[in-house]
Amino acid sequence: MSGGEPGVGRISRRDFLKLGALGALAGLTIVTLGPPVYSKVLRKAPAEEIESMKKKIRMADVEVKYTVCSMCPAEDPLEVWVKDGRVIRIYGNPYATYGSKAAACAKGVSGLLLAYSPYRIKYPLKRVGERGEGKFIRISWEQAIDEIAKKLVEIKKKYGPEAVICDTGDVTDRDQYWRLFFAFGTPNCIEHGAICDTPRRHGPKLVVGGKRWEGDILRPVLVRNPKTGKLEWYNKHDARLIIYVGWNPFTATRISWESWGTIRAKVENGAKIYVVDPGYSNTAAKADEWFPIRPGTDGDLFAAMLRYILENDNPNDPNRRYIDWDFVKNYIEGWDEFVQAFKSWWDKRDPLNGHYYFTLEWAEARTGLPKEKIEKLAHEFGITKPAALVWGMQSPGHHYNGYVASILAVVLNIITGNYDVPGGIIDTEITKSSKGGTATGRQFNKRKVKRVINGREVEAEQEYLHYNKYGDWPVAWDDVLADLPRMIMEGIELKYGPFKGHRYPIAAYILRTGNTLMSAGPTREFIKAFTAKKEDGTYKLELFVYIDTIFLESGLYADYVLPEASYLERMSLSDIYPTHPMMYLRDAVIEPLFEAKKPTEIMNMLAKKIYEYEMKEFGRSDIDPKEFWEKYKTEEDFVNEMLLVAPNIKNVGRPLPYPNLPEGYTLYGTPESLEEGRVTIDHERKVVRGEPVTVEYLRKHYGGAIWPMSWYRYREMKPDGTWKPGGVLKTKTGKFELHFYTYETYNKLIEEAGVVPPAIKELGWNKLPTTFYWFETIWNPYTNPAYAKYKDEYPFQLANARVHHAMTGTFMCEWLAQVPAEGLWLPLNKPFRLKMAEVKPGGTGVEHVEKTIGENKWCIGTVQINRVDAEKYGIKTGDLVLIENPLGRKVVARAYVCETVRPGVLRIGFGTGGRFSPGLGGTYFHRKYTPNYNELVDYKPSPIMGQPSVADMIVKIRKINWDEIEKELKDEEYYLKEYTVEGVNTR
Amino acid sequence: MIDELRNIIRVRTYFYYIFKHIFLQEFTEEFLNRLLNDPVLKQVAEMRETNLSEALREFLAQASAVLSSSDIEGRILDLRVEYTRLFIGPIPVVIPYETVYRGERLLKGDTWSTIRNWYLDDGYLLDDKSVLEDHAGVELEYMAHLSEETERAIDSGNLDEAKRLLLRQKEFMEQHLIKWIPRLCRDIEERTREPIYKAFAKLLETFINEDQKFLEKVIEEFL
Repeated sequence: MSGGEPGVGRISRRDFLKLGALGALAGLTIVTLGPPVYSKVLRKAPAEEIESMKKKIRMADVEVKYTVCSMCPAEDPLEVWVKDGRVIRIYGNPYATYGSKAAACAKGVSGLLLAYSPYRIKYPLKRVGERGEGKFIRISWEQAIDEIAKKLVEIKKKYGPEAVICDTGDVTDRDQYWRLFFAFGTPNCIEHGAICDTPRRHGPKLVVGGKRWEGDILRPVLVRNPKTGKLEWYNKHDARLIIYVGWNPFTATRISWESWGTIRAKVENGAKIYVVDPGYSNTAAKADEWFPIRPGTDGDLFAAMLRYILENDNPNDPNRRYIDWDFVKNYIEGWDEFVQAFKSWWDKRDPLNGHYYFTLEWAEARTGLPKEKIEKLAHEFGITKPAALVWGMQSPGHHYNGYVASILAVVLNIITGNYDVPGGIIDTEITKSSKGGTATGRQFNKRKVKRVINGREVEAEQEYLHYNKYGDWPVAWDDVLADLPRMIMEGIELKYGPFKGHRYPIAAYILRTGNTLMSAGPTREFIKAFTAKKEDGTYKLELFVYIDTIFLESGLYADYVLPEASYLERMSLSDIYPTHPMMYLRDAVIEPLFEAKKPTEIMNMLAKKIYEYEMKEFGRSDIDPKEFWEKYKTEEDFVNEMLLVAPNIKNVGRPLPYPNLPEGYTLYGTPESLEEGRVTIDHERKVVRGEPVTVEYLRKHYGGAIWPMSWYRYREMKPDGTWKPGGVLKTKTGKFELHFYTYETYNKLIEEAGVVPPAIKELGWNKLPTTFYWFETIWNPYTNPAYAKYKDEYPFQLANARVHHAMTGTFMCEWLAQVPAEGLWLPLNKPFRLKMAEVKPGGTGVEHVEKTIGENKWCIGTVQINRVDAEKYGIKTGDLVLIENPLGRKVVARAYVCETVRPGVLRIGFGTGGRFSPGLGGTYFHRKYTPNYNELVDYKPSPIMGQPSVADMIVKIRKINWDEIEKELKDEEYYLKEYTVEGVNTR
Repeated sequence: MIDELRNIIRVRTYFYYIFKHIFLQEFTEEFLNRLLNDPVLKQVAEMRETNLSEALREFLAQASAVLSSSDIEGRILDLRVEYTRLFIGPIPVVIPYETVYRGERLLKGDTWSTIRNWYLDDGYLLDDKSVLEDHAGVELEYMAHLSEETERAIDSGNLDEAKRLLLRQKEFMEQHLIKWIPRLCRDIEERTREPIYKAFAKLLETFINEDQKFLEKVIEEFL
């Protein structure tokens, strides 16, 4: 029918039937009612608005923005292409001298899969039913914030604010949360460092007041040309020998620039690269020699190297000039007492192998390396200048006695004259730019608070309520997280400091961007603690809030889940460890998706609600509006405050960074203002203030600020032209301290309280020794007599390594799930069914089909076993094996038989198996036959710092059949059960 | 004829609004009561046998079952949990975004962009930032809007405009809705634990298929 004519009467009822079932509606006798009025999400907009929107889209060009990655702790600077409000490309920032430069790594580009993941957390959720059931309902932000604030204030009233722990996991831009909770009244804010590698950092902290030592291979670096006085890019490599011990820059995160530097130093400067590692890591594959050491014996190797160097050093023999005696004399404090303590072991015989401690024979028996190789390492490290001995996070950082190794590695580096020399080794903690300042809220911990303890009122600063520092772990300056399950079950009793005797429970756990359940220790212990109930049937841990962009296992046990803006949607500063001061901006390049909120918003919302409830409840509040929402209207306000302390670095070293400014003074301000003298100088405080670094400044400079590099920063020139120790060192004497003054502070605390912490008692100490000490690691039958009896039944040592994922956090990124890594993450899957998009035949479109992903097409976590061992057990690649430790814990895994792991060692990738959050896609489907490394870990925090000893374990292995899995793992319900997702998700 | 045509369109507007509401909101007691007491739905349910009326009857029966349970509050909470489980988290069982059903793995893909442009061409903007344009609820609301506009065009005698609008809806149906909504419905049907969502999915699938037929034929036959 053509238009216009109604044709009434010409159309019959029958004709309407041609319209199908809807045609039948024609005969209804409605309807004066309009359509039901529901709130609408689409709005008919005026023509001008539509036209303007269309124009914006039409004209949208690629905007190039600079930000910083957060897919792993390397936090590389990125160049992000944004078009029409969408991120379309992620590249490295070619203007950054730090990081991968123009190329982002596989993790970096996978950032798109995080921001635009259909599975990202979109709305606040509230738990219904039991923790762990996975039953949630969507709620509004208002309701979430209201209920959380109310509960927090309730907890404060019942137990005190210290009963709240805020754990900000391993994503470093956490300051808003710490500020909020410090202000709330708890000093108990912790982060991933507590389970990262605290033993690794120990030596640097004691000796220089630092943390992370890296080889001087970041190039180019900005350096003052002493002749011309101009700042130039110094691009020459100076290193001649780098020894990586348990350190794998080609796979690891955090220090990605080391991969570039290692190759360049080798190729351009002929540097020798040695890798000491039980596994033939990616870095070992680039090395001149691989030394396949037994796990847990790096400290033994270092001790032997030191003994060799001390015994063979001869300043008069050019082939034996190992030790820089000038340096030792002028810059080391406590050398004689250290050497004396070290030498006191030399005439003792090792009860296991009968050799004298620290001799080459002794080290051969312990490390499994031939003594010629140990001698080679010792001699070459001693004689090659400059050189760097770099020790790792996994080892020694994850060993029970990692402290010993860390201290020895520091000593080896400094006495050979390699510290902060071109091509040597540098403590990157004390050379990096500061950030945070007053924005961090640490000043709130200085507030005076009162507690009634055993009937007496005590007043002291809030910081003394800390659950670790004044609880069971007074020496753990990086906090202890592995002990959390026990602390939830038993509560806290302060044993040190002014609040000694004070007791409180852990009633609330706020977890942001962390996955404690999988990362911090045995998963089942954490589940037990999170689900433990009081007698009245309520949870011991009364409140559990999970804040993140992605749903990891820990979130399944939370009471509230809050969607945080992904790193592409928020602003902060990178937490990086270059060899000289730099600051990079993490910029919000797109608006938050769905109902995700930025940390600054979440902080302000919670602060306001807590304030309201506290005013109602107490008539006063610890939250001051002027310190939160009235002060920080935007996240930029917050970041600008954090930048006020940049760089906070001393004008020391050679070439002197700023010859126009006084040597030894502390510098703040932009590089340009310092360079051009637009500064004010406070001679009393010895401070130079230039123009403050701001977000705008960083944006204008491709995202970063870079201050000059120099070397020999451990000394300053006096007015009379002589050197004095100090510079950037953060020690009591200004020297490298081998008399551990840091420990003396803790010893005083221990003495005052009259309580020896268990962490020290178990070593047979009643206080910390203030110079060299030695103790053995655990679960090592080759070094510790207490475990010798297990040697035959448990012939394998367990080693853990990482694959190219961010700890447990990025396993949902399919691109990464399809890239094999190092024998630990391989296409060895069993077939599984997955709904995925398939192009229709003829390419006529896409349809969804349920597909079987065939055998061996998808990467899963595996276990690496040496060919010689495999043959003994009749194991072939792909066989299913059961791995069991002496504590009766078991995991299953598919074996990968190879020669890239030392015999007597089984190597498993961290976070690669037993993953039971359904949002991980493929990795979830394989949870029953992939190994959760942490299942095998001994639930034993190491002494002193409490770092979980995740690298110390021995196991046995046997082949099993597929139908035996459920029988063998029947106790491990949490990853065998199905979480409320039937089968597959659409893709 | 015109009155009858307008009737059909008015009812389909009605349905589209109901469907979009079910996608964007959890079931509440109030909403279920409204549905059960709605005279339009009653008539559709009671009209002569078609697959549509049958599916609607089943859906209304499930709504009724909820409201006649001995613990309505508990049942409503169950439905809220199920809505969250199905569409939201911890890990949604179905992702009700066309982009995902069209084979793109990421949100805000090309399909999203196309849909946004579609709305713009008709003068519509999505104000609610908690969802994206290609969410099932939003696409269904869009059809409701166009359907309403068609109604108004008919009422004001502008049959050319009505035809244009129906063509527009036909195109959107053919290029978008029919390509994914039925599959989305089948996924919901298969995976839900609540009979009411199963019945809803069946109802929506039936309706979409019927609406496609309608749109194909209506212009041909009548305009």
